[in-house]
Amino acid sequence: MSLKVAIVGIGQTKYEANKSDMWQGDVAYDAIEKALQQTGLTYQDVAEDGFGIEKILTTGEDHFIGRTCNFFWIHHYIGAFGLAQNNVSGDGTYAVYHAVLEILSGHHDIIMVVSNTKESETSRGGIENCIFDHIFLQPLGFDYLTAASLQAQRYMYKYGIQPEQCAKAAVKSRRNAKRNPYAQEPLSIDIDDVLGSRMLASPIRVLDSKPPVSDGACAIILASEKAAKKITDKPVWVRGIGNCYDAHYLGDRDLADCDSLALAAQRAYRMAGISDPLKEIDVAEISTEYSYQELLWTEGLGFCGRGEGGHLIDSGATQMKGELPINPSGGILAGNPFQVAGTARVAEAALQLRGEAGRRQIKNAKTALAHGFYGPCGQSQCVIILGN
Amino acid sequence: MEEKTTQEYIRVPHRLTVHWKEPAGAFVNRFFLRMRDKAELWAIKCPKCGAILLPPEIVCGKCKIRIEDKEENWLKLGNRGTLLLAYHVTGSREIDPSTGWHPDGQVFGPLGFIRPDGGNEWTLLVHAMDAEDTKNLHPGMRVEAVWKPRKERTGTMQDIKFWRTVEE
Repeated sequence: MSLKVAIVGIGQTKYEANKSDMWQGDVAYDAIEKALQQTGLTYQDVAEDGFGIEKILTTGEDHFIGRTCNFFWIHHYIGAFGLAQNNVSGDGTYAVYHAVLEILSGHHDIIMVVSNTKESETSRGGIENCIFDHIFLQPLGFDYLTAASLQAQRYMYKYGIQPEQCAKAAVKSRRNAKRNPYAQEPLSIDIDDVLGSRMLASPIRVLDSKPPVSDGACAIILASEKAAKKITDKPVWVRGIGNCYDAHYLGDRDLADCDSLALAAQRAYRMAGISDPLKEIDVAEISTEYSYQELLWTEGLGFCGRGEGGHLIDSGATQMKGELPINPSGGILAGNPFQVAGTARVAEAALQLRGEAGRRQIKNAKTALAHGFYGPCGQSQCVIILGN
Repeated sequence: MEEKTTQEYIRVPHRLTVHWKEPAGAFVNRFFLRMRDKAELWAIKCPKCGAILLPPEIVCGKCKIRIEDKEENWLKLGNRGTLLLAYHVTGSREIDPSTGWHPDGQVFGPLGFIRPDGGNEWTLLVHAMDAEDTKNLHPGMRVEAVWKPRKERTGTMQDIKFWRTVEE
């Protein structure tokens, strides 16, 4: 990219099953306050020199709050009172995508992305059911889990992937999460624990799945090159970004292959000048709600060939000390709410490049990948390449 | 000694009850009428790439062209087909389609990915299987649609009660 956009500030809450002592605005403001404190920024309309956050981009799904225009009610909590605000009804990576485009267009210099979801306030499964089309899939009772079980079966059948290989991703995530103070579900588990856990939707077991309920928020501040250099001496540059949609109806695609992810990744790699992602990327934070997805997504991201996701995880290359560590934070399998999940992937990837990932830090990380998806079985995919 | 107390948190209950009546659209309307009146499954064929689309759609996603509502573009599919895969949800995390909520302990039957005869790689229907679980459901098995009686058919996908395996 000839123009440059940087991530300059990051704030996350701890992710928990039930923040019963907090209202949605309280949760959002926890993350926002951290990002503001880290950067020393405030909002443009109250900044003495007019240098501050100009726009808020939220990610919110109306159904989770039970009213339309979900972020209208907490606009003063997110600082949008008197500023520009838009909501992206999708994964947090899409809000980051739009923030980058708006800064590149020259329309704004500093934008804050805010993602906030409290799954504990309603039924996530019921809302996921509303994502499916009304006529063909919704009446069958689909939610993300049941659609994922269909995809897992198809993927494992087509490429001979074994449950033990998927379980390795579940184990790795929960163990990595022990080094992440924000993680909801850090666990010392092994493959037998995963394979012995209760079946949810064959072949997905309890420990193959993200926790059933998660609450939390994540805020990211992005800035133009000129503004970024005023704000921080550790800017994390957006080097490449790409997204792609696939068919909604599950019968209109081969669920064993994630073509939309492959295309999204190609677009991001082309922009970032990456030709060999396994070698050129130092750390990846990818959105994995179910263990098989880590294997499948690594194929879509081009870290290995089609059907080779099992071999890749068997090789140890994606472990903390491997060639390309995947999800040092523990990822979604260790607990991140809907939509916040992608924002958290970007935040964690940026923390790695700032050298601020604490005990989950990957040494000498210079290039990182953040991935998010939205829709059943990864219908739409977004890939972001970051560098420092 | 100070007495230990538990913090109490007030939760404010609310619900959203809204009803919709969504037109099925030109092609799905015809599709449902033929299901209701004739117990037949019809798909639409893209005249450019040959994809046989089920559900029938007016735009081919691959070619990005409008598919005309002409009789030669419609294709009657067989009442039998091939099972590509089946899955079954156990436990209490599934959704009751009538309410959108997941009732504790209620168990639904398995669902199957079915390619009705006459379809091609684009033709896949997700529907209920007549089986207690997936033990005896395997990719490649032959299946057939079991329809509700005419007076119970209303023009929805649930006009087919389920698909059952058949020996051929």
